[in-house]
Amino acid sequence: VRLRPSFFPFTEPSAEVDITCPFCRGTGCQVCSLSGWMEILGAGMVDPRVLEGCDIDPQIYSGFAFGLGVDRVAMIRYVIPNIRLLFDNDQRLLRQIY
Amino acid sequence: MELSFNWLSQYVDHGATVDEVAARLTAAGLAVEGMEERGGDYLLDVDVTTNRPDCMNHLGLAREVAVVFDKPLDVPDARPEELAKRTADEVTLTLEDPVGCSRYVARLVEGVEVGPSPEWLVERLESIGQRPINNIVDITNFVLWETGQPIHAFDFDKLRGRAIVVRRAQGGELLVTLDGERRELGPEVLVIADAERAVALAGIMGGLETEVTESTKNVLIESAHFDPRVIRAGAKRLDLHTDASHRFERGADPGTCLDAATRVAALIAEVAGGRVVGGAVDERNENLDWRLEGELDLARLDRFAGAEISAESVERWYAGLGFELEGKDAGRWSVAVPSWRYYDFKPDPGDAPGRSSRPVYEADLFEEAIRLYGMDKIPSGLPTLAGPDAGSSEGHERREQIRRHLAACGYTEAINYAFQDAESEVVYPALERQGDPIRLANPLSELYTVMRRSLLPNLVAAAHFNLQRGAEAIRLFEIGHVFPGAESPEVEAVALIGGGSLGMPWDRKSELDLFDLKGVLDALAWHFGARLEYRPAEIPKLISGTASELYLEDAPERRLGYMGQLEEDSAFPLFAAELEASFFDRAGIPQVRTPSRFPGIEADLTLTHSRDTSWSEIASAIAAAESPDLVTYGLKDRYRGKGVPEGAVNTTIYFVYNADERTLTQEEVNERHQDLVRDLENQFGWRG
Repeated sequence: VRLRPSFFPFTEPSAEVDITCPFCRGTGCQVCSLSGWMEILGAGMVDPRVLEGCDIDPQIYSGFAFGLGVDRVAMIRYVIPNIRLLFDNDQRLLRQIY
Repeated sequence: MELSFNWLSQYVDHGATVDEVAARLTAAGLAVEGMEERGGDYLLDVDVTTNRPDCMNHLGLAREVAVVFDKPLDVPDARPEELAKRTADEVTLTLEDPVGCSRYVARLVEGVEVGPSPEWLVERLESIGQRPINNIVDITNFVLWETGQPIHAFDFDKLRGRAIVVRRAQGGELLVTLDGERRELGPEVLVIADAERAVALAGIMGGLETEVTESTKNVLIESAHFDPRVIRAGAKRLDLHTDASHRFERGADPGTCLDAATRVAALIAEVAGGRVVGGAVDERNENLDWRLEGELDLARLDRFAGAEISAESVERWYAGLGFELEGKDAGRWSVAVPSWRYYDFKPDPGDAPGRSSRPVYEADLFEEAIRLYGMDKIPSGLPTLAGPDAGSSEGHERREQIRRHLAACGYTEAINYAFQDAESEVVYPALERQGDPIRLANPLSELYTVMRRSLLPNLVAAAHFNLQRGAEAIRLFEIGHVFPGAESPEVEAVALIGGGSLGMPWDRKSELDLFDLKGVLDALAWHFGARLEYRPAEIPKLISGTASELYLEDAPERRLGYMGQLEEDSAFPLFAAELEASFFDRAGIPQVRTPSRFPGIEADLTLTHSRDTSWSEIASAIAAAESPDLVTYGLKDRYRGKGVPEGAVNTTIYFVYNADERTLTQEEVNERHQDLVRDLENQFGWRG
């Protein structure tokens, strides 16, 4: 797992979390564009502008946020190569997962 | 953004390999996503996030490399020889729109020889995939990719009245741009004009008539700062996207205009001959203040970051990035933001540029230290939280229970998009329709133009998808929101679709029918402590005679949903239902009746009645009779055919009588049963 700086308008600082590519275990493959890493989620400290917008004083409170694509994680976990397969509603696939 | 490693290395002697530079840049927040080896150089594919327009050029990225490797940045310092005569005497400049254009710098170079560029310049441009055109244009392009400042070069002799006016275009004003296109403009478009007409699209693209050609002798250099919003509006209106507009839209450096213009002038003198006219014309909107300041407190930084960062590192990093630090006490500084980071640090994104009324947020300042310190170096820990959990979000519990129950009944959850195409949307039944469906302003495709008002169409499509792949049975459900109309709130619905056959001949093959679907719904309702009432109805797209509207027994005025067999072209009949999910938010717990310890007595009745009489009417009548100790009754069989009159049906009903505190006698049961039978015969018996 690695954490590296990135940018989202609603977090400050912003970060991306990568995991070693589960398909090649970090050696580099087509799925991870030979980098060995796969992006899994975005995160960061809540931007003070957002807190102010919610009437929360950023001098007193801080917050952190993160979000990941459930579909993506499902694809990694179950080795589903294409996100479309999660929305086709093919019973032959759906009935394997519970 | 693709930048050349060799070019970037010209500005900082980092002493590292391309891999090390890529790794350190990535760790600092400028992810190098790929690198391509090209004849002794590497083309770095850098993911420059939108908050860092200052890194969309080689000098800006080199500054990051310099800070990360703690090396000095070698900024080219252009000091060309200048003529005695002054630019201000040669050209007049008028800023008619000081908001759209808050600064304009003009310089002049006389007596140039336009021709092909020298080798070094061609190499630089080609290393990033830019096409050389002529030495003047190439220099402007070079400086854009070096400093991030877009530059335009005019053939000065083609500017009428030796004047530059920066203004909005008039409605219908025409301009032929460099690409040969004749464009009709309007007031959203900011133009550069001479004394008589528009000659360029400000910040986007130059005009054909005033472009630099082989015959150009005198060049006017434009280096200006344009408001991102104005450039974006103009570019969108004209459907144009250029390297220049790309940078102005994201926020160029308001402080670099003069330096960049001077750099261009010096390069032109060097490469194309020519003499630089003295000084520059530098007009700016004096009402704007580009200075951004804030306070940096090391103790607060360390607390925010969860790390121990040294004051020495802070001073080194911020200075390297171009921030001005003024120490106030130990561990506290006043900080001024460099102009090229203006748009990143502007406290109020909604404010017009140059009008920030407050100090920069400390979190924005902290980010610089944290990313250079190294996010991975920050120690990990789990937060200590006190207090109870927030609890589930609205509807979560009921969704989970519905899901589990339907899955237990053998149905599989489908997930579909919330969009529909407008044509198929109206065909299927829905819980509610209020006026027109909600239309999407920017649909991804014709299939997704309106927000769905029913879960059915997509479930039917899913059923067909499975049928086409040889499915012998369909059992799908979906829980999701539907959107009755623009004025109505969204409604959470649950829908099911089922049909086909289950099992193989050896293990009791059975065909799914309407009663199987009804059974699932009844069981679901029972689970939530409710009973459903099915009222026959005519519903479009559902086969007449199979359709019913659903109500709660204890809330008979509120329609909950519908059920029926679909009028659908399919290999086997399909049955569907849709209900409002919120009704499942009942507190109801199914009531359990403890069985008696004493034996009961069963009795049957076969009633001949009209086919028009429904079972639910008969059942209601039995319930209404409230026969004592009648614990259960139900439909045992129905028969039509030999021996039954035309228009009638024989319904066999079973009854079970059971008392809680004793064994009932056969005589008692007979008596009660006869009463009930007589009652039913009177109400429903066939009269011929």
